[in-house]
Amino acid sequence: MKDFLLETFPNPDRKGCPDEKTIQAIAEDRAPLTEAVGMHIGSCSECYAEYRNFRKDWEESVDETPAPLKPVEIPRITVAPQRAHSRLVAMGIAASLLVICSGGYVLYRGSNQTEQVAMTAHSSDSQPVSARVDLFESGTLRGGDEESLTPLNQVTLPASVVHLSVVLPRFSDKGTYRLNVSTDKQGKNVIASGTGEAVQSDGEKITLPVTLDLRDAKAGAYFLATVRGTDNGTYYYPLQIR
Amino acid sequence: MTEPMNRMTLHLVNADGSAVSAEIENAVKRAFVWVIRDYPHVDSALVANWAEDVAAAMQCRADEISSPIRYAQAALKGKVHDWLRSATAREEVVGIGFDLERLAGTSGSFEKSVERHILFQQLKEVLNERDRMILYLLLEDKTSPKDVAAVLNTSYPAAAQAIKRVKDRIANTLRGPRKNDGEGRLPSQFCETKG
Repeated sequence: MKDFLLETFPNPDRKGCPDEKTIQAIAEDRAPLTEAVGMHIGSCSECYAEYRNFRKDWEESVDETPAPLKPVEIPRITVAPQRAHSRLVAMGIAASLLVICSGGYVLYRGSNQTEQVAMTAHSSDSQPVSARVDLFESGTLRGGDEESLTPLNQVTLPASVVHLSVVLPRFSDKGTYRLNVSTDKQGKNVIASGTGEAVQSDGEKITLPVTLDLRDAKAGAYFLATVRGTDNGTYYYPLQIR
Repeated sequence: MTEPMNRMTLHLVNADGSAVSAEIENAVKRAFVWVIRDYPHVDSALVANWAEDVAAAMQCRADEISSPIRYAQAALKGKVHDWLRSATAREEVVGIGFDLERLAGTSGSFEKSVERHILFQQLKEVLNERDRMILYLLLEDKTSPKDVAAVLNTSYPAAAQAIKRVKDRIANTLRGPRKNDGEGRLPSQFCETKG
């Protein structure tokens, strides 16, 4: 029956044929088969042959892809005395590498002075994390005129529940603020929000305590917005979630 | 017959000996694999030679070719057809000619080719465009009414009925000229004589 479709409907001029990318996408199950294209393939030997070849190519490539390894149960192994020594050496090397990597990480953290976030605790995503963001000396983005005010120091937060302590910029007022994390400056797509009461804490500095749930946020660039409750004055800061 | 030649064995250059463009190279290599697959009895070394000729010719008129893969396949297939025609014309039937033809994949039986042609014309007559689309889905192992219903934008029972109708029509055609379709009618026959 395949020969019937392959031989009975010659269309050497390829009149009315969909382009080969469409046929390839259908053959590779990347695009749904529509009625119009299906009708055509059933009535055009060239397109049917093309479909079959794309399909076979794809099936062969899938067959060549190695199957995922099945999990195997690792039997308990009793280490023979003569192998115990080599195992201890391997463990020693692993421990050394761990120490070296840890040391490197500590040095890297110590040298990164531009980061404004002082993490007071670090734990897994499910555990709340305390963080302090100091915007006292920061410029701001308001509305769409960010070009004139860049560059700004970037705020970095983890994708966790964050107990945030935000030092508001110089000359900020006390009062109720809302803190938004959004993907755009217009604040249309807010992914996390929290409200807090900003109070004077350290001399002339105003600090806003607020909790943000960033667990659903993917790593990437966002905007952190402070919205003052009395007049809805909104200021944006570039935020990186990692 | 030897195994199909690997795509990498093709030496695709233009008339000056420079490598052809990547697009033409990919198209010709793919067409080569397809033709080897469609004509397993044709010597792959011959097809490789033709593929190299096609690649050189395509490079000369690269600007005029809108779809390299379709052009390459049509050209290569055309060369195979030409060769098959001329090879058949040069054949000499000897004592074991039938076996040789069978091994070579060429059908020397005129009757068989006519029968096949008639059968296909009969099927063409009884299967409309929609039926052929269903046949195409069935041949691709999309045999569930659910699959057919999704493409035809129809209900599951309607798709099931359509599949059954196609199968019945094909079965009636394959059964031969003297079988009726269950409703007292004879299926239309291509070579039926009247009188």
